[in-house]
Amino acid sequence: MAIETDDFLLPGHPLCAGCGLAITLKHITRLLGKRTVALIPPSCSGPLATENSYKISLPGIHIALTHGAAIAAGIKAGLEAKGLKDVTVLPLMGDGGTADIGLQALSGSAERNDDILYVCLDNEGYMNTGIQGSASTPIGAYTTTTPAGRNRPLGRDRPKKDVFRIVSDHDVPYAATACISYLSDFKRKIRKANSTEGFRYIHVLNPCPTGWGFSPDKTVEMGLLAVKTGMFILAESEHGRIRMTHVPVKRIPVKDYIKHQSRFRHLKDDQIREIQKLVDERFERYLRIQEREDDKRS
Amino acid sequence: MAFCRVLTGNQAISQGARLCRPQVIAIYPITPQSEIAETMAGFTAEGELDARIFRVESEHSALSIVIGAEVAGARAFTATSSNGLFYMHEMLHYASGLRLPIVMAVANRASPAPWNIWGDHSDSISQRDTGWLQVYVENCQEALDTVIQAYRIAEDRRVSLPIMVCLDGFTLTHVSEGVDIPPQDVVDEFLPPYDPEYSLSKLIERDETACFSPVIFPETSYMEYKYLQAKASERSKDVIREVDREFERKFNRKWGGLIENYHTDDADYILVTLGSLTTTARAVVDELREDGWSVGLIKLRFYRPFPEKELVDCLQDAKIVGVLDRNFSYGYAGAVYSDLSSAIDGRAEIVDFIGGLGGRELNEDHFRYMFRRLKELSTTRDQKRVEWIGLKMK
Ligand SMILES: Cc1ncc(C[n+]2csc(CCOP(=O)(O)OP(=O)(O)O)c2C)c(N)n1
Ligand code: SF4
Repeated sequence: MAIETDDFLLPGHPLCAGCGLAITLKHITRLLGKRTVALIPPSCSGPLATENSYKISLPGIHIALTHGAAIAAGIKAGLEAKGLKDVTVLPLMGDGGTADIGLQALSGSAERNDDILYVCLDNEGYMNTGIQGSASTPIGAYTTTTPAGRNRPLGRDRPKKDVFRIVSDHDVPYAATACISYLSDFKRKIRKANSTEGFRYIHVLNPCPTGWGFSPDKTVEMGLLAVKTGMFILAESEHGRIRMTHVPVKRIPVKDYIKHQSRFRHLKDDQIREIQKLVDERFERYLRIQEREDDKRS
Repeated sequence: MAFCRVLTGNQAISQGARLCRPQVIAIYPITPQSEIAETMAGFTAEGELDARIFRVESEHSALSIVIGAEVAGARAFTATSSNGLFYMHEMLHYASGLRLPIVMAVANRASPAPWNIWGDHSDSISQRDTGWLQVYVENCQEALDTVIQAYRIAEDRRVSLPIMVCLDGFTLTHVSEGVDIPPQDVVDEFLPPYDPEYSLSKLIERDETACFSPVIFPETSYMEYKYLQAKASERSKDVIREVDREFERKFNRKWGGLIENYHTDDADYILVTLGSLTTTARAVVDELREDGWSVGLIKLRFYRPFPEKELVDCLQDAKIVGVLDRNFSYGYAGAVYSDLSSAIDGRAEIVDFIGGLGGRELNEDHFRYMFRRLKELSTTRDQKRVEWIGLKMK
């Protein structure tokens, strides 16, 4: 089938109503254009790449959960060996495939500075396989493998792994976090990544109505609240120098974010206060990193 | 111009790989394979080989990179051993299912625990059902030649399957022999550039979209894909024979294709071996034949595809057949014995000798013993079918 449309996420895709991932994919593929190879792992994007219904109109391959960055690097090298130097290789990994089982391949590739554009589509859990917990699930969230109970009242009891900072610390040319609720920031980062050579990492928060338990018309609002509370920090880095790209003037309480989502329903006030403290500390740590970088620059 | 050099098995593999002009290489070091990783890195550093080489953080990524390169349409090479091969396991199925003609050297080594870095075949044999063809080589020259043959076989469109070129850890990887290095132009004639029917680069060049290895459902075509893969593995037998014949015409050397038989026509007692121990076994066959014994030997080159027909033809008139398995399938017997028993289907008696595990020595005495046991067992009925050779306990 020849490419006939400018929209690369085709209509009739099987993602849930209100899925943040759908919005993200639409924008990323549109911004990158057709000299792009899409790598789709087992994840919520997986159903876009079925035998009789391939919903991304780009050359693609359904890959494994474990090796997103490595196979991407191989594809890039293979295409270059065949004389195709201008193709963007785009692994579209979930947060499970990134923060957990694919982290080693990701680190290896980032360290080598392979010329790929790695996107982590973060819905904060293993969603397509039944809402299990990942290292990217925030503290306090219920998932089917981090249920809250008498012996573990928080549900998930460890804070979200910060893969953006891990990748930045590999001194890669470009890394960023983004969210479709901040569309111009998101688009600028995709364009920046696309015009940069070497290893590029974009970590996108995709609000997930099904896994988080909110109404599908509130997807964009959830992204806004995640950033305004400081639960998710918008930042970027060039060669390890991290800077926040959006600092909320006055952060709103974490409670105003989590109250909309049934995954946090079990939390008591004192637990929410604990989480607020962790979020504050992490936010301040980012501000300090930013100040250090600003000092270096001035 | 062809020239002769003293090379270790690892260096011979590397020279063979260099001559095949892989475009992408990714190898993670592991004893006894590491010299291949080092030699290939040296070739690319010195410009003797124009390839992109990756320093990888694991074998899983090494094979993933090689898979990616081949899906893109480039020729690729890797090598590993034991733990590294096991670490690749997930990707082994991936490579064969995608029908990628990857060539990988496997420096055969035991499977810890207990920790052991010496040679046996339990690493590659335990990956039998991953869809890779497997060839076992006997000496350094065969190692070099087989890499070249392997790319021809794997890339033949009737096959399109990955191949492991297996060489014994230490007894081959670290043994030096005089090796003839064929001239590049003759290798180029024998092995044209890789040109797959489908690849990501072809899709891009034709401005088309499609998805490789999409999700496939039970009632659509998964079984059909697997059936075609099974057919291709079967068809590879013809291609292996053809390629060995053509190799002989070009390079004046042949290795027997699927198997090499030695004095099997008139033999009552035949031993089946894989890899470098064949050389010792052959010397013992010569010696025993001088003493008037009717003994013979089969070197099983390809374990997958399993050369059922050739083996039955050679073995069905023997009084008894022994298999030397440097592996064990726990709960039953050695793997080669099991496969051979099903192929022979009662047409000859078969005994399984388990030996050489974890690098345990097998010398002429052990082979004399095995032939003696075959003779003894051929006259008794209710024998034990699996015997461990060189065991230091009762
Ligand atoms: C090696 C391996 N282990 C387990 C699985 C099963 N599995 C498939 S997808 C998945 C979770 C994916 O989660 P994530 O990457 O976050 O993507 P999401 O479904 O949330 O989009 C798991 C565990 C697998 N495919 N491969
Ligand atoms: S589970 Fe969540 S991320 Fe997955 S398709 Fe549904 S809404 Fe989207």
